[in-house]
Amino acid sequence: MERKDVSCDVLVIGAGLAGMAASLFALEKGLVTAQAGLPGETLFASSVLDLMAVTPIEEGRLWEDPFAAIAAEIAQNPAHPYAKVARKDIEAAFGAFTGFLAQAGMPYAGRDGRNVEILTPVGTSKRTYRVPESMWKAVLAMEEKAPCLIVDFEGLKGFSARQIAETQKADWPGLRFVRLDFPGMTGDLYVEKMAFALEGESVRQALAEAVRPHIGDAAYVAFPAVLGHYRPGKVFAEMERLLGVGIFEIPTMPPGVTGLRLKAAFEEGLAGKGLKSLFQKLVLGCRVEEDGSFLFSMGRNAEEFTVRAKAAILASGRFFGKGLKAERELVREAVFGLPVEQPKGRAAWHQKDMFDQAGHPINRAGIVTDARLRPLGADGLPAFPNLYAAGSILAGQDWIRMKCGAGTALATAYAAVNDIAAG
Amino acid sequence: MTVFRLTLAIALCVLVAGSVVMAARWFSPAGRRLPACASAFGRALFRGRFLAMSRSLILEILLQFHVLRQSPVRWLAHFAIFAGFFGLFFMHALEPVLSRPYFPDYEPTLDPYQFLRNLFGAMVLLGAALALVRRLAVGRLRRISGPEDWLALGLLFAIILSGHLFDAAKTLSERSFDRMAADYLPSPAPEELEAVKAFWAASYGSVFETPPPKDPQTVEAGKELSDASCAMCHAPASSAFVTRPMVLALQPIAPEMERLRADEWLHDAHYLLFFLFIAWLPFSKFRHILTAPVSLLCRAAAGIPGEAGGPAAETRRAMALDACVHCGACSLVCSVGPSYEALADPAVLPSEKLKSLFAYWRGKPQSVRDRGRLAEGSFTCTACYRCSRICPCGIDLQDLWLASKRELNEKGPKDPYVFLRGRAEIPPPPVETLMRPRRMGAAHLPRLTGDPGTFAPCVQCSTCTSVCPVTAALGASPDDIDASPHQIMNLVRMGLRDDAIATRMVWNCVTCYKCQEFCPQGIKVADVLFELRNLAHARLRDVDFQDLGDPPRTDAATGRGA
Amino acid sequence: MKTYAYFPGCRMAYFIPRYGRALRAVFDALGVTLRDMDATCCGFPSRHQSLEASALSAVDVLARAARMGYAIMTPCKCCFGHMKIIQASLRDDARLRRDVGALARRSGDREALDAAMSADCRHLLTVLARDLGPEVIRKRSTVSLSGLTVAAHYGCHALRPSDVTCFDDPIYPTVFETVLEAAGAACAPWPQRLECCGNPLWGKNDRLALALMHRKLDGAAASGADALATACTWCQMQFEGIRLDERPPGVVGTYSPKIPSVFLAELLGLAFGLAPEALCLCGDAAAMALFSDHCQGGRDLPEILKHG
Repeated sequence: MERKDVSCDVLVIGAGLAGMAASLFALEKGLVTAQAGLPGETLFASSVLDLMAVTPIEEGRLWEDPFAAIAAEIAQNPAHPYAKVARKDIEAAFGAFTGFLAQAGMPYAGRDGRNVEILTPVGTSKRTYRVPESMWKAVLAMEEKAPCLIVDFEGLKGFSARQIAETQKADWPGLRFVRLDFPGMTGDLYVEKMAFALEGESVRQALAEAVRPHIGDAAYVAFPAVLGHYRPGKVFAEMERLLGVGIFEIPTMPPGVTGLRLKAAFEEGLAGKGLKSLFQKLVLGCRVEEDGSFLFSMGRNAEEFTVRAKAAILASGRFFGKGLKAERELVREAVFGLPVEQPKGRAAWHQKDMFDQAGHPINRAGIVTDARLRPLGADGLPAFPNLYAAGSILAGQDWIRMKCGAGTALATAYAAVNDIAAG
Repeated sequence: MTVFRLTLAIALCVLVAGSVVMAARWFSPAGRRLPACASAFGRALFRGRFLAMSRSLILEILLQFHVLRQSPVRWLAHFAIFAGFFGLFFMHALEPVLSRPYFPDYEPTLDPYQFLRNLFGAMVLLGAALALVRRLAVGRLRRISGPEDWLALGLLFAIILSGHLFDAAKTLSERSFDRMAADYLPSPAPEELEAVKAFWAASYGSVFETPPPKDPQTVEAGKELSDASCAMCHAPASSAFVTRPMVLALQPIAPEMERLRADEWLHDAHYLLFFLFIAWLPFSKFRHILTAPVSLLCRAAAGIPGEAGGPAAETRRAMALDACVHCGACSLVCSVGPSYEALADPAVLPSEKLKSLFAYWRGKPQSVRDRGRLAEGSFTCTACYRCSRICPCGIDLQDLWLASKRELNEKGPKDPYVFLRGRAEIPPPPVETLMRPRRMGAAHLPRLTGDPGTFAPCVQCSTCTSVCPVTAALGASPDDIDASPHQIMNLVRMGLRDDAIATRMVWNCVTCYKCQEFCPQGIKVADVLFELRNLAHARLRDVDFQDLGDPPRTDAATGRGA
Repeated sequence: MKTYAYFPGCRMAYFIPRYGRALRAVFDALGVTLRDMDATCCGFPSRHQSLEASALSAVDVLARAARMGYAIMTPCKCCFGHMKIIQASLRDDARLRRDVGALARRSGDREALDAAMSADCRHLLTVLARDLGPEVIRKRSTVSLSGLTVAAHYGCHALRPSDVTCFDDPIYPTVFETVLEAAGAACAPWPQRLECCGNPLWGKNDRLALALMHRKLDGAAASGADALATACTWCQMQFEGIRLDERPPGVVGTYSPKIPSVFLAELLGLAFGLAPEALCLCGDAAAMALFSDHCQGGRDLPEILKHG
């Protein structure tokens, strides 16, 4: 079988948000970039980009200014990865990233320096920093508390328009809901298939027909995020034209179409920028060459080829992304066996109360780095001079509760790439 | 002689009756098939197939060049038998009706006829020996060779050898000599008789109870007498190059042979073996002598591939069953040969499938296992057309398979896949089956589905279902989707493998691999579905297809012919 | 001069022999030698039955090619995908290696596994788009196909599982479009281009097989394509309506779809200016009609196309 050994400036290990961002930034810096890992996790992305919204999480305090929230968090928790990235770099990272996605057909919207609020599929509201344009009118509608119709579908699990309306009732009485049959489908519905079906004009028209009688005074109509898979922009614009009112999407339970769109945008857009994509391949082993560069052994099970890289960025995520492996008593780092900052012993992993607002200690486990985002070895010094870490694998943050996942990923990827490019 | 005549008459009757029955099978119902065949034949003749048919007659039927192109060894073996046997048949067996009336100087013991007899005999023996060696040397051919193949070869050997041995025994025999001497040496002087004996002993190898003198003068005197009285009917022994070495080899036991009257019973044996051949012909692979030329001419007339439907095609199919000589050429080139090696199901191979179909179509009793194997073999075929193209008897095997697959799916035993698809469960195999050594090693044991690690990362996110084109076609075929891919993964994870196999979804998977490609957790969803089907097939083989012969369950989804 | 071990797969010889001839004509024109292999089954059709049996077939084909000393070129996606899968499975699965090795030894070939692992299997599209490159096709194309919009049907088994087949990007593959555009045709944006044609269910569940196919054809027709292009024997048979349990239907299939499907080699042959006889196009009424409808307008198409 053919064997293609790869040589590059930087190998990005991991294909989630941080990995994709790292590849993008590295390519834009003109570095020869290769990327390995399983890109499937992106399917779970809601596609909204958080920066920082909650701190301290014990109090559940919500922030309107994410940068103020970051400053507050760092003051209290200097281990947070944001402590290693300057504000201008964070802003530049977001700018570059959303710029790329806009080119790939997924434009974003938001307010500089301010968080915005959107609806979740269970009816709560969520603060975030940047949202896809298909969700932007949710922000406006929510700010205006405008009369609004939420549509859901018979057979679509995990998305109840009624629940959303009921949950928001006190603050937003103008929310109404309706449950419709999705044109041409019965039984259990799956969002990918609905999105695909809506690419067809006849299905769009049938859906518009079904929705129209329920619009009434609504200024906006909300749908679960199923408005198009391959050509969401077109589907969205067409639906808006057919209905004659503003529309917006509400993210669905993961995995959803939002993740599919994001994944497709990454894979297509990065390939267009010259990424050597090694998706579905894993790093099986690693050796440091005499000149200090890495020689990675790559494959799915046995070595299929090698990658020679002058530097590497570890963006392999935590447990779901398989960057960290939880053994009975110990959490290990999966690729390099780096030391993992973690609670002492399994008993200390979790709080007694599963829904404890303070979160669980295990959710802050991860890799500790120096100021340049280089993981530390057991001796407290950088394990390798040219290995960086980015994204959720970094210790000191609980991104789910702090609402800082995307921001951490983008910011640290950006900083790591800058350091590589500079050095 | 009357006994022989009677036996011959019986043998001929059997031959004729057998052939008529065979031909009747081809053309019945005659009202439908006969006119169709006649018109097909007429069409062929008048639409330019005449040339092809003449070509087939000369190149294929007489010279068998198509076999030469495929395998020179096989051609040599077959052509030697063919030419030698027919040489003997026309010159020797039909002596009273052909050789003697048309060749006034014909005498079997005179040259060139004595030489030709030996030559033809040698050709058959050489050809049969080659065929024997080939059958033994080529592994797959050896494995598919049955009693009939060995018996037929044995009969050929026996007929020819008995003839030559009879010839040798007669030459050795003193009684024979005495009988001939009484006829052709009227009242010889004792020393004259001694001299002729001395000459025959020296040059033909005859053996006498009291050995005649060997001195050159007596032999010379005997030669003169023999030239005068015997040579008009006896060519020198040297041209009998097969019989002659036999004579020399048998000399030591000649007295014993003489005592047992070997020449007489070898004579009887030679005749009876030949009569046996005549009577057995329509019921054995020897019938190809009659059917293969017809089949080849039909192929030349119809072209390849021929007409698909209609009564004429049915006749060709019926004829095909009788035209097969079980030479194994098709099975040696069969493209699913490796499946035969792995599944050990002979019905995978065309020559064996044809045998099984012969039994199936002719209503012969077949065990459930054989019926199951017929179905398995039939649907393992990938219709690659190689067997049709190589068949030296001109059988359109591909057409047979297409027709038989249709029929099997309608009347059972069905395609194991279709059967399994509509089946809730297969009974567990008997314990001794599980204990026996397996050709395919551990193929009947789970690999992915038995490993908890396969599903450990599954979070039931339903991405596999969401991208599945089959569940997307749900609207078109609501009964077919009873479980979605992620539910099947969950069933297997919970150890409910048999329940997973019983779902229709497992059997409706198109193997497009989208589920596996998109699984965020890297679970080999499509490979698991493949494995479930493999396990069900293995189980079916383990119970010897005990259910495949059942009347088919109504399976609306298959909608055959609809 | 490039040389490949040509593996047509099982269906070509009987069901659509004209594709084999068109393919050879095109490769002759490109100066590529195709060496015949004495094998016709990759084992894919028996994968449902037994992984081991299907692996043994694949090993047989791969080992033959390795011993010929050439990479395999197959126009069938299923053959390509299956041989790739078996190579990967043999590499990763010790049990399969042991069992298939034992079966190969029984058949008298002790080194089959090693030979099979060293073989290089390629698909028609990768040979055209990567080994030869679009430039070669562009240079060789003398007749413009610019009137023609084609929907490229990718087929499943070459594309996925992508970690094993390493054929192209599984989400945004480009090889097919690269070849078509090099030959001057335009490619229709067809969202279902990566979906299954439905063929694997023929004879097993005809209703579903048809439903899947129609879903694709509807999309292709809506995408504005004049024709579907295939690069797989099975897919082509599916779209043309050739049933496995039937005789080859002669000139066209038993099913007349709303959009014709043509085999890539026919399109290329036409672009190369090869005679329709060499491409056996005369037997393909759908292709003939298509080409005469869309490739006129003064371009020097062979006369025969214009008159049918």
